[in-house]
Amino acid sequence: MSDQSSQLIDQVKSCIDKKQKIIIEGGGTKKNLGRSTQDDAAQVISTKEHTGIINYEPVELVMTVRAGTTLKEIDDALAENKQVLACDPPRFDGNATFGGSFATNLSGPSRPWLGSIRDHVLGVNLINGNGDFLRFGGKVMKNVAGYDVSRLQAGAMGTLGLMTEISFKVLPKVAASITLRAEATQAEAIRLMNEFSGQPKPLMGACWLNNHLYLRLSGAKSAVEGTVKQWLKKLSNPKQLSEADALIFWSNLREQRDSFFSDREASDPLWRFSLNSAAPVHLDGERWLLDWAGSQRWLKGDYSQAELSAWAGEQGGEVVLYQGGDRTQEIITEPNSVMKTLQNNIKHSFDPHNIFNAGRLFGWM
Amino acid sequence: MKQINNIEILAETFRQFIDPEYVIVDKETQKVYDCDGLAAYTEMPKLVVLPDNVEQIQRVMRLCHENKVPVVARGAGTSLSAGATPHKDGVVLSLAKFKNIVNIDPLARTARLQPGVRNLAISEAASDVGLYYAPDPSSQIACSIGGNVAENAGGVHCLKYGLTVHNIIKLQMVTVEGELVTIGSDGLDTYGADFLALIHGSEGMLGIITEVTVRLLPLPEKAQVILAGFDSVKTAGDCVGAIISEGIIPGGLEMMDGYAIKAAEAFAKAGYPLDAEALLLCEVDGTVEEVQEHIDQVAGLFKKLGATSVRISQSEAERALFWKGRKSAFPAVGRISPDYYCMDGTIPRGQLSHVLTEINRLSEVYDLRVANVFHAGDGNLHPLILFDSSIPGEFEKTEEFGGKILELCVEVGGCITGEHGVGLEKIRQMAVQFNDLEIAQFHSIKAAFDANGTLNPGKGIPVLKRCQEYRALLKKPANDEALNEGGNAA
Repeated sequence: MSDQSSQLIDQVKSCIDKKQKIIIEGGGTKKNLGRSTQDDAAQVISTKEHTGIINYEPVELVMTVRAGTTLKEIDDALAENKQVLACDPPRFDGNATFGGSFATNLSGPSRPWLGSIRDHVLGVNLINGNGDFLRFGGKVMKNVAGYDVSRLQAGAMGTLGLMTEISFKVLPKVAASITLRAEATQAEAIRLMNEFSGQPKPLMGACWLNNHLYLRLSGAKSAVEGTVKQWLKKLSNPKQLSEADALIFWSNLREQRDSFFSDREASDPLWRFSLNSAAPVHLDGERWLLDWAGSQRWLKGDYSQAELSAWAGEQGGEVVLYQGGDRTQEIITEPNSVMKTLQNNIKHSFDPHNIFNAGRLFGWM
Repeated sequence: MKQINNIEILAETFRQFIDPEYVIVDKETQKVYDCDGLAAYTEMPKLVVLPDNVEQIQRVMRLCHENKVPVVARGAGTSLSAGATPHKDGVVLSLAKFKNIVNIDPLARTARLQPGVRNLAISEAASDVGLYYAPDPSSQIACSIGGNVAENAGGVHCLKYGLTVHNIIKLQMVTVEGELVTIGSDGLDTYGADFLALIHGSEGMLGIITEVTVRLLPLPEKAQVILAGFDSVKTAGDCVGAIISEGIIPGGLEMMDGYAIKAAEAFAKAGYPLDAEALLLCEVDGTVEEVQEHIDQVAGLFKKLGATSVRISQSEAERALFWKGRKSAFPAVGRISPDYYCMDGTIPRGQLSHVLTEINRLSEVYDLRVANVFHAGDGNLHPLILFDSSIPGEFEKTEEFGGKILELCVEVGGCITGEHGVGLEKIRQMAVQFNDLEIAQFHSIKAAFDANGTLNPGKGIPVLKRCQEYRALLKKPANDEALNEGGNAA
């Protein structure tokens, strides 16, 4: 573990001087996300050596880490105090870093109930495109001084600067967890996942694939067991998964290594929808996986981006060409001109020379 | 378009598309708009308009933009940081007529709201389908959802359920140029940098919020409150850490000191222990089984760690009564003093004893009494400084004392505002929390949305020159009145 902040600042400044583009890299687990940008002249700046837990006070439920720290190292430190990350991003074989996880804001199956990394980040240190080293937010749960620059970084994929340090909230580990599997068509699953989400029960995972509905209940032991008893009656041919099977199922889903994800060529398009959780079945019979109680949906195969996008829009959401396909093109439909101007203005406000991860989010930015 | 220099002409233009009764130029009718919940700051605007549809808002914005006229958006006017104080050369754009709940979707558990819908009205309407809206600022009977977004409002339940930013999925906003944009979606996230988070807490400086989609949660099966008295603030503070170490995240966890206990009890008759130096209210919610399990654990913990009294609410009526004292703490303190000034710093919980000791010391230095109310779970302090505005110079002294408390919060690793916002009130302390490069970044963000700086000017982010002056002043004790920007402190 070492503090590389000053080296990182120097590297950024040197690129600014040379008008050289920068590609930010951490554990290298998310290279296939976003657009592919071919720029051989660009300088790769890595946070891989910039690691370590700087501060962790279990009673405050707050931790501060350097951006290159792996989620694995964080998990291990938290486990010693019976605590966990307050959300559940993919670990990608132990190589995912906190910085990269936050920049992409990826979340696991508990997203609707636990929130995303964005929800739990309290503060960031950031080097902007002027080479300025800036600190925003802090280590306290509530902070409304100034604009929320910290959370703005979620999903920005490093286009607004290089994050060096991040503070975030952690939580106590839950006492018990039980997973139920039942038979359901996609339409039945959409209805059940939404209805169950509307009940005051400790639901912590609801997904559908291969004509099966999976429900995970996590929380106080008494609450989990009480709910299982009530819900078993509402399901078709339900089965309680063993603890080991449940662990494998949910971690495969989180890590995107379930056979749904792995049984495809790297070049095959994988589409990700983020939309109204109660949106109806679309393209029935195609290869779908529904997660987040219906709010995140995955679809495999060749489709017209314009048609998928039009349907997602009708359902109050959007679709991204998450992996595969032609990644040199736009992977999401272009926003309207007003939003495009705002996106460009914000990019410019952090990165006036457009050096950070240029073209990674949009071809035009 | 040629610029309109005369406000009368602008008013006349507004009257062509807004009911003339709601284009207010006379000073008497404008008077109710001269301040928000922080009444010490007042200013008269040039014009007040109350449009009743989004298209009218767009036209107002377009005209003001073309004429470089400042616009201050206003919801229910309950801000406690002078965030909605008018600009002397500008227009107050009131959203008071946008009171409709557009739609509640029980299956997807969302509500689409016009910005003027009151916070509490959301939960009242959603209760028919077993749902509620979690953030509950103390002003929830009056404050509106648009203002909640602008300030990123908190409340007593945010330790477990988050702030406004955690409970909103989509906004419709009119830009300074009058364009309508959608930020966020009906899904849980959108591609790219998180603009939704950026708008939260932006204090009306980036756009005018015209519609809000909130997430609704299932009403808990059961909630119970434990009320415990302690003979020292430190013991109570230790209990807060102990509950969290046990793995319990309470729905609400509030602390009050001796002064606040006595004032609240006199007002609410909630049965608070008058001999206690500190009081904790701990609400546990969830399934019936879970609540029973956690209530037993928390009560046991309080007794073990030295609580002088422990009571558990036995009915919904009693739970409401226990909360009544806390929720009415501000007006209750108002009864024992002609005026009070509410602060809003946040600190790491472990610093509580140190900070309260220091506040008591400052209280003696300034010869002003302080009652402390505290969102203990998330470290958000609300010291109430008691003063009398009829005594010349006492408000200025109070403000200086308040400023010292905020600087103390920053010193121990906290921040100057947890949920009330910066507004005009804390603009000087921004220079303590942020350096010039950080303030400059804030200005660039502002310019990305509002290049002319006509949206709520003078609030939230101080001009750099003022920051340097204020920091210089902190190094030598002096009267800092000269630094008051915009607004007239009473």
